[in-house]
Amino acid sequence: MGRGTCTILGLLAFMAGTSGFAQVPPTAVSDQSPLLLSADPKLAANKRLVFDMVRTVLNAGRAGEAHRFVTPEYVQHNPNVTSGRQGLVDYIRRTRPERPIPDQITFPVISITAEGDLVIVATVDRENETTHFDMFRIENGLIAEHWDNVVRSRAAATKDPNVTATTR
Amino acid sequence: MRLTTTLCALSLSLGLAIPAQAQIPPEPVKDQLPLLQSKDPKLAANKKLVFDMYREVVNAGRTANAAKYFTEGYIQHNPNVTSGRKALVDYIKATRPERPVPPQITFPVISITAEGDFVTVATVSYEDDPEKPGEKYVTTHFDMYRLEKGLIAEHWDNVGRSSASKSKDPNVTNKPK
Repeated sequence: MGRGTCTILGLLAFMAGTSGFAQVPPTAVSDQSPLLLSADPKLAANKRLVFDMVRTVLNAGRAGEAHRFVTPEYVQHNPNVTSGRQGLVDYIRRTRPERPIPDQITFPVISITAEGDLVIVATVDRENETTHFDMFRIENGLIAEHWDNVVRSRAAATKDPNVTATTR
Repeated sequence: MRLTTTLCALSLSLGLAIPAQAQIPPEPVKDQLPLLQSKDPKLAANKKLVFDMYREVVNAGRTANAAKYFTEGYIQHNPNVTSGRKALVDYIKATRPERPVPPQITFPVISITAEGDFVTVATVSYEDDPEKPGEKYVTTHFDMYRLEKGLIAEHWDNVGRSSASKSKDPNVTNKPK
């Protein structure tokens, strides 16, 4: 078996390895501002509202600003947070300090899409090597309903995703 | 006066009780066809392609027509499935038998939305309650697809790395009981 054969065998092994290529880790965009564009001004406004809420309330922990973004009756489908704007305010105050408001969402955002009354934000979940989703329904310029893929967990009810999602 | 005080106390306690209600379980729509509508024919076509792919491939396990729906180089972000159309076909074949193609998606669909090249499907996910053995609770599962020239070229979902999910059939496991 000459060196040529070995090279060919090595090359074949390499090709076999790449043809069965594994999952491709999701990656975040570096500039989120193009994600806010839409030919439809209503969709652009809805995306902007969600973008500003995430920066102000979820990232910067400014629970006192929640009324600018969320209805009092806010319907919550996350199994660890109670419904109503007050439930969100309590959850934010319990899990994070107030911080400066960042220019962009500080979670690793993959996409922000909107149709009708819905806005969906997809972010990289580094802890679980997958994608995290939040979906919001907008009603008269305020967020009225929220779904995400979080599972029931006492730990999730107290942890600050600004710390746990970005340090991995 | 006493009655007024009682009523005040009652309304106060109700007022406090209402915002403190627990999670409201997400609910599926009864008819999925209105979710496929769009003023933009491209978005309507993208949603229909994803809807048909679910019914035929994910629900009915019919992998013979996978080329109708997926690019050969299909990029997979689910950490339990390898990339490429071939890997998807292998995964479907390994996890479920062929079944009749249903008229609508048999998962409990909450929404199907599209913008640009993306289509996102949200479904109710029935999970085992960690604190009440034998009981289920609900959260939301998401799948997002990127389309390229009328075929699905990329997929994201919220599934974490798990060897169990490599072999389970969600048509069987995602049930209320």
